[in-house]
Amino acid sequence: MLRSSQYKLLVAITLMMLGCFACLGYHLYDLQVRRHLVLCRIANDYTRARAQLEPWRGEVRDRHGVKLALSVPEKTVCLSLEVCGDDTEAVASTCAMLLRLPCERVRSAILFAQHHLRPGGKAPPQSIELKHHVSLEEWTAVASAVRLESFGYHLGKLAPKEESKLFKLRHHLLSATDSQARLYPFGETLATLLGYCSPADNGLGLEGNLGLEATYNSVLAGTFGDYISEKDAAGNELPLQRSVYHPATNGAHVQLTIDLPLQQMLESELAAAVTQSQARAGCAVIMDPSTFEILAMAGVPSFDPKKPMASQPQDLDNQCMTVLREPGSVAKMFTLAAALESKLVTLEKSVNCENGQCLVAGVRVRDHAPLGVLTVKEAFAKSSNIGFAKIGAALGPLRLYQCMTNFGLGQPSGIPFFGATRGRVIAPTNKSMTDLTRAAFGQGIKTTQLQLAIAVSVIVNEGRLFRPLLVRQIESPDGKILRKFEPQFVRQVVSPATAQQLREAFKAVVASGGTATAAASPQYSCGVKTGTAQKADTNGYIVGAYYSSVIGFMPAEAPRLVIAVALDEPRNGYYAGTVVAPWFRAIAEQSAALLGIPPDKAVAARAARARFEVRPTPSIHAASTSTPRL
Amino acid sequence: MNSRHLFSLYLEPSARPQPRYRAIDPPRSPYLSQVRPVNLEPVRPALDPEPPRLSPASPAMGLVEKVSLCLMVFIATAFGVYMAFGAGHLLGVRKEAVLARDLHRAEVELAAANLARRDLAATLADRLARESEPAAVRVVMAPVPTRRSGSRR
Repeated sequence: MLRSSQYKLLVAITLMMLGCFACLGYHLYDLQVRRHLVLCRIANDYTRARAQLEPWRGEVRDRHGVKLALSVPEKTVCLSLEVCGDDTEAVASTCAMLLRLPCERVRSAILFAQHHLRPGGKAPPQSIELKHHVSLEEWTAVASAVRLESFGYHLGKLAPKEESKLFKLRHHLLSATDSQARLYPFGETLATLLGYCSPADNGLGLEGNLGLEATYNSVLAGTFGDYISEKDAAGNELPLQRSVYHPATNGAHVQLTIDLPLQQMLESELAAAVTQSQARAGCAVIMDPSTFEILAMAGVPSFDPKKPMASQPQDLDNQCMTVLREPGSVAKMFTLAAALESKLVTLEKSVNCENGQCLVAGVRVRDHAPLGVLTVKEAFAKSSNIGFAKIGAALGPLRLYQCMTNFGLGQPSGIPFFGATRGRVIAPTNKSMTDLTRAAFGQGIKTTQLQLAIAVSVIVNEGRLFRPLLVRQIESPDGKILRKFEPQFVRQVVSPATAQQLREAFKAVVASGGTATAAASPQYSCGVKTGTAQKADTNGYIVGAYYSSVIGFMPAEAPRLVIAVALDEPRNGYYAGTVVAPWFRAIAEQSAALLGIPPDKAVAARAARARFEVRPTPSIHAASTSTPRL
Repeated sequence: MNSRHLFSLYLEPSARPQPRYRAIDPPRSPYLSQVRPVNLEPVRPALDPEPPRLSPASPAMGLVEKVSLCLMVFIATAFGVYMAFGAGHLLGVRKEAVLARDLHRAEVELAAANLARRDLAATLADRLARESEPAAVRVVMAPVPTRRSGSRR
């Protein structure tokens, strides 16, 4: 029999043990049920390593493989606040010296982070970013230099604690994270075509913001990878413990149809043209009419792709593809093409261009001079507004509209490009007789310079429209061709006979009596059309503001190039025949020299051959592939 | 007191000590009264180098002993296997840790090499661009005329 005291003791012990088990049970409930998710998250933070793998952005190359845009690795230097501790002064002065930063700035950044920066209202961050855009070379130098620094300690007599602290400062104070920056080795060359990149919104990788970088962003950017793994006590990822691992796919390379030497020449000449004519802007395109490949495309003003925000917003526009202008007299080629195709006129048929001004279909039309009775060819060569207003009126709205749209006006050019516009052509249902009369000589419609260059390429190419090409092929990072772009036939715009007649009309413009005699070269024959359009705003046409352009092909008999040059608001004269035509000639001659096109004028051929001297640019051509030049 | 009297101290009074040896009742030896087969095996010479082995008679095991023995063998085997697996696991974990460390180091080195290669490529591209000249050929630069009165469009 148990005695009473023993019984009480037994009960007390039992109760105590039950209490302990109850506490243990509650603690288990607290850990496993109540705070399960929070604790899991904390445990995962300690042990799990989860990260996104950044792909490398692809390159943009010219037709010979020269890199026009590529990504370059760079570092962001971070400072560990935990290692820094109380040695703010010594750390700030050392880091400022190593990273070439103002000492006061570093010190204030550390102090601010230590005392004021509280993300989420909790502990201060473990590290702060000290300097961005540090090159690999610079980082290597900094990392090796910091291991020799004393951080204010007297190296001769160091206590064990101080030694440990100094070791930490030397080895764990500064660290660097990897990132990539976009490099445009040729600076402003092709800037309005290539566009620029900026860091993505999520802070990972780069994102194309303009031009081809934006248009082909999905191709260039690649695909992000990710992994979920475990890490050791030092924070190093344990690769064999990866539960999820999707490697990043680097971006593909985009090879353009652009010929870099030609592009550099075109930009140089266009810049000179804009400067000399004191124009507001200018643009130029060179195309290969046999393949509809764009060989060069320049725009002035341009911008520095490293500092795009330092430029005016309008400087970022691609003048050839995104800026719409009235074409002026250049549009007479559409009227003539429609009239010839519908057999309304022939080149030799007479048209009365009156005495300088006339009322056509209720619209007062003026010529630059009294021209009298001319053949259609002469009216085209002398750019008679009255003559073509009459032809347009006889043609009717439907045929003119159909001809213009067949040439590609008012439609997408077929080149995918960020911000590209399709232009404006008034539909025949909405077109009054006034609109029709004005459209016949280039007023009331809006086109881009590229659309006009494509139209001339159609004329050169026996009336056949192909899809224009700006990108030649897309390559995978390992060099495999993912997609190759070939000339793609779209439609027959005009018959070959009409195209031949149009080429004759173009040649007449350069001949004596035409508006573009200044475009005639002593070595090369060519055919052009000039256009001087008065600029308009919402209040109507602006007095004294013109858009002058010359579009043509060379050599005349077997055209190899289509060249379009335009100047916006030139002040040193404004007629295209005088302001732009000489630059057309200069660009045509230099293009021919660069591409090895022999002179076709028999008289000048010998002299020209003697003077011809092609000086190759070895550095660029060394990188070129075996792609045959034009 | 001899040894026979010692028993009486521990046994009950009724118990009597039995005589150690019985008297031989049959007067003759059994082989004389009963015919038995003679062992016809050859006699082993005394100088035979290998003396005959006589295996001691093992006592028969009971069911309990057998079950206990099986159980012990099973436990010992299971323990041994468990230990072997444990040792193997430890070795595997150590090897895996070494491999992981090597892999991590290799990945870091590969990433660094890739970065260095890309940096070099960028430097080369930059140098190439700086060395190239914008206009390679200049044939004839036409003078740009100024505006003339009566010029045509």
